[in-house]
Amino acid sequence: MNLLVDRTRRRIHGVLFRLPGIVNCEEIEGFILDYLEDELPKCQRQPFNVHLAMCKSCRTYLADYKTTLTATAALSNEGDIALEDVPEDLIAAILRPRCP
Amino acid sequence: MKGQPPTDQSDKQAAQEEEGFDRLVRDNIGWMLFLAARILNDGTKAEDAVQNAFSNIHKGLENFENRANLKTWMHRIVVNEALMLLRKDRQLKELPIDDSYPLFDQNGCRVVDQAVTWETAEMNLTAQQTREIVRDEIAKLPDDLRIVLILRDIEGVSTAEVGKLLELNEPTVRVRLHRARVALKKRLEPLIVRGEL
Ligand SMILES: [Zn+2]
Repeated sequence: MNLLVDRTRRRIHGVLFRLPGIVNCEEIEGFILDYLEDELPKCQRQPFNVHLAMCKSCRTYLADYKTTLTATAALSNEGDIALEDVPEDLIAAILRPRCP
Repeated sequence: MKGQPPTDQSDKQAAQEEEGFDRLVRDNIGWMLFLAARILNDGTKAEDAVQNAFSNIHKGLENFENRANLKTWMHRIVVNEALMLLRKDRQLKELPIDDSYPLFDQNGCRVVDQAVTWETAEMNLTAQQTREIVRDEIAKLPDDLRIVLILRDIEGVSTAEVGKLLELNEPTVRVRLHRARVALKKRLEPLIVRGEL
């Protein structure tokens, strides 16, 4: 995004975010974890959604955050080393102390 | 055959137990090594952690009754052993500064990052390639953030349980988890922007 556009956007938001019941991006940041775990209380969920509706940078931010979570979760089912790739001396060392 | 003493019941039982343990080692060593290496970022140290873990497992197995949760129990043991080695190791290392946290202006308005750059111009990565990049980027995170992310978002350990393992309270775990995700997001941004993720 071009710097001038960004500055203008922030000037507008700076006014908007001072309106009653409106939270700013920084407060949104603190809500994200709870929001995604569905633990955000109702009284905070509404302002969160209102902010998202108004703020493109937070929408993009949240979407990227979710993409990151999905990419991380994709690593959860790859956690194995085939037995033939495990060094045999390691297995021997683990089993040795119990065979006097 | 003469001369060979008859195997008594306890010997036989002991032999059976050893056979069972041998099986347990071979059935589980693969994922345990992988997990320890992920935590330690080091294959050799992972072997040490797994060896220590199996020593504890062997000791504890006799009194372990909840067979249905055997794998969970073993998971915690290997995580603990890996963390112990990590802590030992880390005393020598300085914690890197995490500069990836988002910026806000005086109104609390998000300051959007300018132009993210990416060294390679390669496009259309395979699923395997993107997984490797994600894995590498996670490995580069500062340990304090990396471990929480691995345990929570990859290993699926609950926040409360992560807190116990790391001796941290839950709010701290949550703060670190969020920071870890944000730091990783920033590192993956070039891929995200190009729709590779
Ligand atoms: Zn915002």
